[in-house]
Amino acid sequence: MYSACVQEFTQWREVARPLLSTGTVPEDMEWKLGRHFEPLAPSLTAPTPLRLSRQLIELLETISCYRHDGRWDLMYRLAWRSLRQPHLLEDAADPDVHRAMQMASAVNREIHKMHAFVRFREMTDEQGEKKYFAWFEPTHQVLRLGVPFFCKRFPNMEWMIATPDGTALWRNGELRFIETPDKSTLPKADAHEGLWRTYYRNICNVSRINPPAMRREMPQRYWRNLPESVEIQTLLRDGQSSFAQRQREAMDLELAKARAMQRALADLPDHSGGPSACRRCDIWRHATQAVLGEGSTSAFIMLVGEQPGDEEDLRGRPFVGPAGRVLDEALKVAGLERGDLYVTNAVKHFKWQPRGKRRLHQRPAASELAACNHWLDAEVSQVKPRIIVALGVSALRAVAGLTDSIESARQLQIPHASGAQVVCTYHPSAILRADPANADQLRTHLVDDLRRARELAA
Amino acid sequence: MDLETKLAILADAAKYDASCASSGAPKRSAAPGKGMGSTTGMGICHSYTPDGRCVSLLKILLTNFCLYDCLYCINRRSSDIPRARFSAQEVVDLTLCFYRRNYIEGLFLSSGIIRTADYTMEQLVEVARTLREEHEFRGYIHLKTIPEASPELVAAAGRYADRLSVNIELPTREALTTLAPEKSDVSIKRAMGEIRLKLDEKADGGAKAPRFSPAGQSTQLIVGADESSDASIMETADTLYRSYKLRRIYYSAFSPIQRTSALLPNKAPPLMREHRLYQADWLMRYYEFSLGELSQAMPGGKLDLSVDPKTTWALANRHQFPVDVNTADRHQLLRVPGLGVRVIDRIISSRRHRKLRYEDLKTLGATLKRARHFICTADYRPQQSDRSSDGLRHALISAPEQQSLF
Repeated sequence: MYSACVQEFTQWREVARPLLSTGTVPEDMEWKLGRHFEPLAPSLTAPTPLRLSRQLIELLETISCYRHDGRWDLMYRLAWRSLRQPHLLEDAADPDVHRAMQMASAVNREIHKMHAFVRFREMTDEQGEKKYFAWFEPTHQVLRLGVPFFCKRFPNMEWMIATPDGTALWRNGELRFIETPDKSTLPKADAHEGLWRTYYRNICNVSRINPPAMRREMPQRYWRNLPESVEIQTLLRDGQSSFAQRQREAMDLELAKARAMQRALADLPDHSGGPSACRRCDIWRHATQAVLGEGSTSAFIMLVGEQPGDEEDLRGRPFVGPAGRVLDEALKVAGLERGDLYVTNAVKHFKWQPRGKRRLHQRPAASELAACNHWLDAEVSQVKPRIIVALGVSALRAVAGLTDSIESARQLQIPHASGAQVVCTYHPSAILRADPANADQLRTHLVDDLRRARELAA
Repeated sequence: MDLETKLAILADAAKYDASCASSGAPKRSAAPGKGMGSTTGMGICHSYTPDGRCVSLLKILLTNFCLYDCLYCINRRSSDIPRARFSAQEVVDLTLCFYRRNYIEGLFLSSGIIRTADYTMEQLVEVARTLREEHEFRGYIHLKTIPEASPELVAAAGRYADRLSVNIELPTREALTTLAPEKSDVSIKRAMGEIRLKLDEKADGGAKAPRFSPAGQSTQLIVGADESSDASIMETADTLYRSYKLRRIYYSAFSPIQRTSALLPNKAPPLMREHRLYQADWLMRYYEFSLGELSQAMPGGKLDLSVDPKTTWALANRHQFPVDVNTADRHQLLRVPGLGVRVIDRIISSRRHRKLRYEDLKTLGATLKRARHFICTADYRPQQSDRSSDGLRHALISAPEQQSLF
């Protein structure tokens, strides 16, 4: 049994080479990530030459940047197996190859994002020379692989790209890697960022706002190092009304789909005996009973959760499990009486999957939300609330057709088709799942939003 | 007027052009000692705006003054908007300033038509020339070509630019006649033809022929400003691809503009329609679908908004399924809903080493939600092969997807 501490590709190669040439099986080697690299004993460092394909070596170098402890092990296994099975990499269905491809594509994506999102700030030194500085925080350790791009693009500028893992410095046509300087010594602004932000603001077509597409390609974790990101909130606000309009159109489409599905299921027995006999979707098969809303039918405020949980499914009443207790506490702090409200769920049956001996909640699909909207709409038209509080993303989707995060939807003013106003907040179970520090903050938000609902309803 | 105000006006005026690609240029980089910039062949999107579009190039108009009065265009001469004009030097400086800070891949410069076509074209070419010759700029340049500009100016534009484009704007001549009475489809097509000829010359002449627009040409077509059906849009697209060797066509959902004409709809078409058109376009270009086959994916001339066109086609051709992923050739695999080009490459490479099972397809990245109805593997056959296409369609849309567009 051998073990080695490595933290970068060249070190791994130095250790792996002799082990591979002596045929050490992957199970006999333990790789650890560490700062204290020690080369192997000299007796092991007289290897016979190895024949590894260029493609494999490139792949190994790429996945060595993937921030996960298992990488060194996987790299060794791939090399070891490739020596015995030369066409291994062609088989993308092999679990090792598949994992390696996944890791490589994550690393390559991060390199690409580095090329895209590094932002230089200009500084003029005492000699009047212009220098360019960037601070970038990559998900994987891609500095070394990402930096040659900048050498080719800006060979005649002096620049520095600093990351938490190390820093690249380009001066007089030479690239060096140095210790990362104190972040506070880097420039905090650039005189031309204002122009760039003006461009960013004006090139955006707010009549077709599409935040999910933006977030998919430019995840929020990059925003803090992008000067243009300060414009995002304003643009979202400007575009919000048109976005909400399109959400409603999307909802119409969803409803049309649900209706189409209804027709498709028309030949199934439906005794139309209320939600308990509902066969609009398939969740009912594994649930105990439909859990209907309850409370005052002349309530000003209607609370909508996602779906009944384990306990609710058994008891047949909404919000009586752990999440219900969190909700009750929050209502009390916000000055609301549960008896004055109408409390229900977007989906009336419990959807779950087995996990050990427990039934684990499973989020309802959009089609299931759409199918169940029939019942929610009936409740809304019966109760005619002034305010509908959507608890969590499923409720938000069911009530308003929005797929926003709660964080952003809380800021919106959302009208409901019935004329009621929608207030969006976190689901009490999000508080149960959050770590203690976050839980307190979420709880405060929940109470604030409930209080806001109370004020709006008054 | 200060630079920032001009930038605000002339970026705003340019945003209805959907094109943003910075791909297709040959690999090149700046020489030590002078200049800056590089292209890798792949485009880079440097930022994304809340409309979900990428910011790759500095996309601006040289000026939004315009002689024409095209009803669908925000910059038409009767439009009541602030007007501005950049000098060529201002555009050059702005491009270099943004490029140096790694904000952009390069410049996409277009313009309203002022004085004459040639005068306008000269201004655009001058910007590109200054960047290339005086600043040794090696980044990406996309120039709009003005119909009826002289061949010499088009040749000069192609010498400096990586890509040229002329916008066809509307899918039919009738629509163009109604909405842009001063434009002629003939002169637009002629301009595209001119570029096509020069691209051919370069292709035939090899290294000795002068450089000409290495990333080819593209165009844009506005969707939903007129009554044209999806079928007639795809027919136009097919004609354009075949006639002018376009790299790609951009489909841009019409944005209703304030104080619009009674001839135009006051409502934007669903963005899903734009998305489905791109999917249909992809089927023609990357999935070996002929226009005739595509028409089977557009019953009544319309693309189905709830189901993608490949699935619609497959539902109309059930007799060709299920396809055995272990034996089918590439062309057959390309027709299976839920299998993309990259997944198919992996299937073909992987099946040399193993008999593919259902689980393997998951690993290879297939979208089984759709594919499972149309494939068989070593251990799997679809159970519902006797189910009607209509029933299958309903089953497929009950699991909605691509919500991201909304």
